[in-house]
Amino acid sequence: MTPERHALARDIFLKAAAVPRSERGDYLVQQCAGDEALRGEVEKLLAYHEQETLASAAPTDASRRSGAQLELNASAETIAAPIGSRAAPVRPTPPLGSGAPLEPGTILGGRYRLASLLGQGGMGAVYRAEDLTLEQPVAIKFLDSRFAERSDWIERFRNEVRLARIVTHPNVCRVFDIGEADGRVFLSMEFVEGEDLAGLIRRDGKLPFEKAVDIARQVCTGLAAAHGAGVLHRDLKPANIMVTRDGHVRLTDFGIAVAAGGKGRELRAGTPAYMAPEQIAGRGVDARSDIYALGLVLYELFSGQPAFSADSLDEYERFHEEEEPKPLSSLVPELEPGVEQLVHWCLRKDPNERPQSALSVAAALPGVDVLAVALAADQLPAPELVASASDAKVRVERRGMLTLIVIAACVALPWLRASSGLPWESPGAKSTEFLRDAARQELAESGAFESFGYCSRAQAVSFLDRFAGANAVGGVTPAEGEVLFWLRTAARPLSPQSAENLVLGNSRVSLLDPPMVGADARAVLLNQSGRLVTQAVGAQPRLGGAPEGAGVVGASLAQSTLRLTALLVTFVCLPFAWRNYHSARGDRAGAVKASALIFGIQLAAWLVGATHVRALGIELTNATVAVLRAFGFASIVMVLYLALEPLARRYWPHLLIGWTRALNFRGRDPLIWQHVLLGLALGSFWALLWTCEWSLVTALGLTPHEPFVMRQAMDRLVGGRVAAASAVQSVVFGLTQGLLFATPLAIARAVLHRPMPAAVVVGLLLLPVLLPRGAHWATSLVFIGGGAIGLGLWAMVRYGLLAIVIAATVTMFLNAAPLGWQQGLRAQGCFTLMLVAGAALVGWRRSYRKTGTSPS
Amino acid sequence: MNRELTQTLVESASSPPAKAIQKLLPLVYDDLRALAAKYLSAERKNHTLQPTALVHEAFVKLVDQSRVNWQGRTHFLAVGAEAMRRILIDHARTKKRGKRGGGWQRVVLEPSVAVTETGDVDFGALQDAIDELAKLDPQQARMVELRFFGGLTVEEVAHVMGVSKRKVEGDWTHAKAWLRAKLAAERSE
Repeated sequence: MTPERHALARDIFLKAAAVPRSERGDYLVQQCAGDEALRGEVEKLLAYHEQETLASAAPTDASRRSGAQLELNASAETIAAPIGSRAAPVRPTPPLGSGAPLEPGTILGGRYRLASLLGQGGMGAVYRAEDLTLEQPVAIKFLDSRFAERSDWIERFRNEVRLARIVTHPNVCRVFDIGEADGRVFLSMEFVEGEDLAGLIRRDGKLPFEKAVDIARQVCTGLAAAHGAGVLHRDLKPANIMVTRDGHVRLTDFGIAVAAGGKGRELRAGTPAYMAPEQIAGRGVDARSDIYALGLVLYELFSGQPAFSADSLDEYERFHEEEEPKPLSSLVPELEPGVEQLVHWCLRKDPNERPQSALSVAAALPGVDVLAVALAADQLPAPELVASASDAKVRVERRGMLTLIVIAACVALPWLRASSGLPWESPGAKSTEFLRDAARQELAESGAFESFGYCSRAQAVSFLDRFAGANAVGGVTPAEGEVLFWLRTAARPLSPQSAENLVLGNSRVSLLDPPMVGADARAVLLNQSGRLVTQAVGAQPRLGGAPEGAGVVGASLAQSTLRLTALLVTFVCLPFAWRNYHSARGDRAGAVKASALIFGIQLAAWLVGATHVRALGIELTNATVAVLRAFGFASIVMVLYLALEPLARRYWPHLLIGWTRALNFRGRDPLIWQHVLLGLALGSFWALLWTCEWSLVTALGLTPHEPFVMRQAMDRLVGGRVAAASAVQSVVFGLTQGLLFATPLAIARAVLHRPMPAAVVVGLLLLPVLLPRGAHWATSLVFIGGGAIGLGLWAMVRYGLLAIVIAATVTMFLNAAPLGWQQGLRAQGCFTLMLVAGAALVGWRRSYRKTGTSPS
Repeated sequence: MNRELTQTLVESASSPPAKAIQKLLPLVYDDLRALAAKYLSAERKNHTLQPTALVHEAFVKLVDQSRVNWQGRTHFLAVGAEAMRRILIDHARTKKRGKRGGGWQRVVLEPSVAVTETGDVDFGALQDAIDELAKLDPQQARMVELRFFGGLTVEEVAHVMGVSKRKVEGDWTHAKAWLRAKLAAERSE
């Protein structure tokens, strides 16, 4: 090709282009005069010329490839159309209906300066512009003039914009404002520097798997956030998904496309290639239609091709309503089957068969932590979602090590306890049976009814104060903090009367309750070595005034404060619980299960451990009180659970994974057992720490507090049923501790957003609450502060509520047990340790899981 | 805002375009290159560049528009086109890659001058095609450059090159078809 031939070809080409198509062939033959090469050249040029004329008549954005949009562009821009003279550098917007594209430099509405044309959307041109008032870049999207003419459409547009403005989310492109300048309606939106997904796919084909999953996850998050705010997209497609350079995804054009459309079939807005069957048929759209579009986007993401490719609206309608897209695996053989399943699930024709929320879609994406997605989308995940959460955050490791910790603790505790200085572990303490026999011997005669147990020195002193004087025969003076054995007899059956005992205590006859009245009532107090402390005979009934049962239960100030706070919190939570119960927010099933558990435990404890008498009247009264008490506790738990659990689920769902699974317990769930095993290890370690603290305090010669498990320990010493009842109550303790940790954590995270600061704040708050449980203020800071609270928070954050509940249960179970080694273990202690060690072994076995299998 | 540039634009508004362009080029080149730098940085290799947008943006940023008339503006755009083209070629050379292939700069053309369906085109391929066209008709090639890289209208091209509007229209129509054919053949290799 030479310059001359080039010029000649041009000449002929231009003339031929002006000739009607039907006559072109002849014209060419004539002009080329036998030069076939020349004719071929000109024909080629003409062909490309034609192609361009056709192409420029359709929308120039990516959606063109997937089929023409329903709203046709106003005017096809032909190649040689004059763009308009540029008489002045800065000019106002052209008058309405001119259809001419605006040029860079134009000032819009006195506020935006257009910089460059970004593209031609289906509704109008999109420009990058500078907001002169705020000096930041924005995107300006024009509403095509023929839409702008209809006032009802403008109103719809405005409504849609109002809605879209609600959504503020990192994965959604923000809409700022709607404006009108010189008859043109435009939107100002967040300017996103990046490329749309359509362009990315077009250029690179299907995206690498990891990247595709990441993009999919972000799209789901943005969609979930918008749906949560009540905004539908209705035109979701790759062209409306922007991806920035660092892989950040933003959805654009929420709902806007629809607002620009009308109601009639011909004027329905949306892109046919990406419309759900019900949308195309005009049957109405909802969130599930967006899910369908999401499915199509995912299809294209993972395969590089659109699911449906057609040439006309009718054909698309048929595809969506009747045909299934080619299975993804046929296009991408190495694709994970889960993904293919997910995509085709989204593409079900019947909306009811599709995933009902974008969160569900995210949950099914491989390797995606759906709870993190829920958090990012500011959504409240349903309990089922929490239970089925991917195990990405769950640790498999170290079950061997954890089991060893438990066993080691069980072995070490008896030895440590012997020298710990705990009141009931004193060396030389005789067994309960021995003491009981010795006490019986001290009594000259025994009555028909007998009861025995242990009490603290303080309780003994209180007892002596009431019945001191002539009635008591003194013996050895008990030492400070010592534990004493008591035995009571009477002619009539004894039954607890004190309200405090019945409601907060163990409903069992104690030294102080019922008070010693009548000459037939006798009591003997021994110390643990069997030496007599005192003997007493019942006093004469006093005139007036029922004897108070104060001091029966021996609650410390801290405990009382805690109980009162709990009651207050419960009252405050009542309205929230009510609301959550009636809406979908609360976990009704879980609340029922938790409160049923509490009810069962309390009732069982009463049945097993309380004092039962043959007198029907008294027994019935006590039974009623017991049932009411159990019901009361269960109700409190129900209220607190309904009110507070959604808080945790909303702001820190990972805390609840193990817990929720446990509530729906299926025997073969390794994850639950992992958490249980961790709880066992943590609990045993805590028991060890506590014992060590006591040993240290004793060794240093400091005066310790009364052990916070004193009451439970007294019960455990008695052995038999009473011990069993008390042991079972450890579970209740565990649950309350779990609540104590979880609730402030959820609230703190709601306020502070990041888990670390939340944990620190809660740790500081819990310090004054839990410090009294230590042996002594000085050492408690380390042992309780660091050991208990620090470890507890760590375990809570890493593992969750279930682990903490188990740990607290185990701690109480171990701490209150008489584990000290004095010429052997007590039966009680032996049994306790074996139970814990056995549970650890079971947990070790059951928490085994082959890598890669997730629990069904 | 570049005062010297504005001043030169004002002064050379009435001089013949060729001369004005000669004077302006050194003034414009550095500023434009700085502006384009962020689009050409290594991390953005998968991203597209819109040369006309850049040139327009440069005009808005560098020139005091209240002082410059349409002729001055036209001159600026023409210079900008030339500068833009050189910047892109320079960038190609410093990258020391072949002028083709993945990761190369893609250039987005205004819808009205698009010669591919997608509106964006591999710069290397485009430059090669323009070079070939230049061998056959240098004037036509220059026209193409002005339109592609500067976004000049038909009238403005006519003014800058000192030819009739009709000639520009005809040459342009032909050039488009020719380039389409060239780029299509290029792609199928």
